[in-house]
This record gives sequence, structure tokens and C-alpha cells, in this order.
Amino acid sequence: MFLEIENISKQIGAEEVLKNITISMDRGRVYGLQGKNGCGKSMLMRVICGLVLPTSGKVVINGEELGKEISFPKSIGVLIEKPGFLNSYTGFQNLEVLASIKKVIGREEIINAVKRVGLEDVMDKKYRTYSLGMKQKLGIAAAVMEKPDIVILDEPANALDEKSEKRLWEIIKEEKERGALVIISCHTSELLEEAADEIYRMDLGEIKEHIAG
Amino acid sequence: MKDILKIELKRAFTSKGMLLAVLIGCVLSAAQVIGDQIPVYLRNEAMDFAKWPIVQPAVVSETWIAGNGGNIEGFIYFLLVPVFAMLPFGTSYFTDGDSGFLKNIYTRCGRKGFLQAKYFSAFISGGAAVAIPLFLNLLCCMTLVPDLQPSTIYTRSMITPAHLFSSIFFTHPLLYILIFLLIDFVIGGIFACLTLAVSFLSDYKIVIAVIPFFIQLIIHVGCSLLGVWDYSIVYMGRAGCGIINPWVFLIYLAVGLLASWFIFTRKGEREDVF
Repeated sequence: MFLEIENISKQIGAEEVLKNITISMDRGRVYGLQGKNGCGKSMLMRVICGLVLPTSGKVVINGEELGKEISFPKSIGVLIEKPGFLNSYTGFQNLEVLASIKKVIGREEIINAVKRVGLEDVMDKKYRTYSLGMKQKLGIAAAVMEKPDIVILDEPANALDEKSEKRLWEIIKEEKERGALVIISCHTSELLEEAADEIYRMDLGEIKEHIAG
Repeated sequence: MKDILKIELKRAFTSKGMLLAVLIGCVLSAAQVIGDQIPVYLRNEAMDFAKWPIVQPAVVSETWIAGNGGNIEGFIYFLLVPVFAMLPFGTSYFTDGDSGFLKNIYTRCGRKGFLQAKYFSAFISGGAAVAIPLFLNLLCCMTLVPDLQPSTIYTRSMITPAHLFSSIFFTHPLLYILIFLLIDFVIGGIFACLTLAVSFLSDYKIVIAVIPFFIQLIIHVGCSLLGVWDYSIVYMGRAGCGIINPWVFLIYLAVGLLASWFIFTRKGEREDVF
């Protein structure tokens, strides 16, 4: 398996927000995390990204242990909770700044990512002028533009209109066909059932149910 | 790290904070030109130095904003150094975390490289924000007042042979000024990095922004009350007040740099990003 999560637990203060989670995930599949607010979906995603270090357990990506052999997954695109960009830069400049770190894509691929999410008309506007939905789309574009091995989208349909939501599911499908491991979270099941190959239902930091499609 | 350093430096130098710091610094600088340098220039013009050979005209090294301890603008400027240094990039780690930008960066370049780039960018931008208005003030002063060697008899500065670099002050005053511009740059850089290091202490940006200023204020008030005013950073950065005890200055530098580097990189590498 490409991604192995073994007995992950995370304690914050006195509260255990993730409890002994073990999941295996492979490339070319879409995995859904479902559960009510505060059940640990976003925390699990942060652990997979390397943004939060688990109290116990390990995450192994392509044979390398996170936090020991690698500090972050080598190829990952993330959108967790709210999209985070620089207010004084345009949407395009924000993506350009991020792309200039790894240098795996150029201007053309950035424009392509912007078009995929439908932001081409506003890509030269300052990020601070974007609506919530536009910010979310830019976050999705940033997550997929470098064609990463792992794509993590936390509540990606937040603030999106119906048309944009359809476009989002198309993007997820395209990413899966490309061979990426896609993890999405949602608090409602209908949307996930449509897009995910496997769904993990979470509650109180635990996996309560695993539905393999 | 080179790429992320370039990004961070560009962000720091094009930030509104940098503009604001330089602008406020320039206002104080301009006030000193009007309140101090122009009257000195007029006195120089009015004085018949041929008649009084013992008296020499006021000189650049004793007239620019940091050249003497007597101008209020200079005192305010050096008291506010931690604020000027913080404005360009000092609180940027906090705001990057708060806005979620940190997540996008960390997953692309890792923590270590980013934290180092952030530290260097804050140091350089903080130093520049402090040094630029001083340099502009110096240039103004050089257009109004002659750059002669300072008098050892009638002196406006507080420099005595006991001061660090005093021989340079009396023989190569411009070199002495440049050394102090560099010292002020370093002090500014350290205060900017201290702001980064205290980013982990509070959930409020304003608290983080003002902590280094209060550290400076406490040291200044403490030194003044104990009668060791020359140990205060407010005076140490002023070329006209000079440095009497270089060890105290070196301790400030070492503690400021090491503590801020250690706290910022260590805490940053271990801190969870939500």
C-alpha cells in the first residue's frame, strides 16, 4: 500500500482527538472521511500531511516513515479547513509563489489549474477581494496544480455553488484517473458516496465503520 | 532554501509594514533635520570661524540624528527601534500560521528550510527598516554640515577616549558612523527576530508585536534607575552616545541572536500546525 497509517493517536491537552487509527490507502483511489464536526477528520488529515505530529503510531508513505525518514510527504497537495494565501497578492501570484518552491510546474500548468477550477476571469484580482467560494477554488487549484501523488481535500465543497461542486467532483475523478491517492472529507454522506471508492466513518476520534466500494 | 528565502525577502521588502516603518522613521528623521540640523547649519553660516580659530563648525558626526544625545527625535527613534524592526516581517510567522499559508508552504518545502528563510528575512528586513531612515538622515546632514573631524575641545557628542572605536571617531568620523549604521542594522535585525521568537507566546498578534518593545523599555528604565544608562540599548545604538562597555553590547548581541534563533527554530520545528 502507498500510505499506511498504523495505530495513530493524538492527544491535545487532556483530550484524545485521534484514537488508534489504522488505515491503508493506495494510489488511484478516492478515500472519503465522513463524520460530524469535531470527530477528528481534519486532525487525521493534518497527521497524514505531517503538519501535526502524532502522540503515538506512525504514518508510512511509500515505505518512508513520516517524522523520521521524511518530515513531510514528498508529493502532496492539501486544502485543510480554510484556504491560506497572501492577501496582497493576486490569485495567480499566490499560485506562482507556491509553484516557485518546488519548481515542478511552470506558468502554463498554473493557468491550466486556474482554468480547471474556473477562476480564469479573476486570477489577476487580489486574493483579499475574493469571495469565500473563490478562495476555496483557489485552494483546490493549489492542491492539484503540481499533480501530487497525494491530494487531501478537507470539506472541499464548502462555499461552492452547484456548478462549481460538479466541477470539483470532475477534478477529483481526473486526479484519481491520473493515479493520485485522493482523500476527501465531508460531513454529509451523499456527496462522498458519489465520489469515494472507500469511506471511513469517524466519531470521537475513532474509525467506526469502513465501507469499501 | 534559496528559493523560499527569495520569496520571503520579497514579501518582507514589499510589505506595508516595511513602508510604514520607513515612513515613520523618515518623519522622525525629517523632524530632526528641521529641529536640529538646519539651526546648526544657520549657526555655521553665521559664525566667523576665521575670527575664532579655536571654534570649529559643527560637523556631520555630531549633528546627524544619532550623532549626539541631545535631540529628542533621536531618543524617540532609538526607543522605537523594536517597533520599526517588527513592522516589516516580525509578526509574519504568526500571520502565516493564522491565515493557513503556513500549511501550503510547509507541505512544499518542509519546516527547517522555511524557518531559516523566515529568520534571515526578518533579520535583514528589520535591520533595513531601522537603518534606511538613519542613512537618509545622514545624507541630509551631509548636505548641510561639513564632514570634518570632530573637535576634542567643544564637543556635542559624548564620545571620550574610553568609548569603543573612539580613535576612529576622532580620526575617521565617517567610518565611525558607518560602523554604527551597521550596529543599528544588527540591533534592528535582532529585535525583528525576537518578535519571531515570541510568536509562540500568545494568540494575539498585538501582544507579540509589542513584547520586544517592552523588553527594550524595561531594560532602558532599569538601566536608568540603576545609574548605568550606558548599558541601555537606546543609547548603545546612538553613535554620539557610543559604547563604553563592549562586553555588555556583545552579551546583548549573543543573547538576542542565540535565544531568538534557538527558540524560533526549535519551537517552529516541533509545533503542530492547525
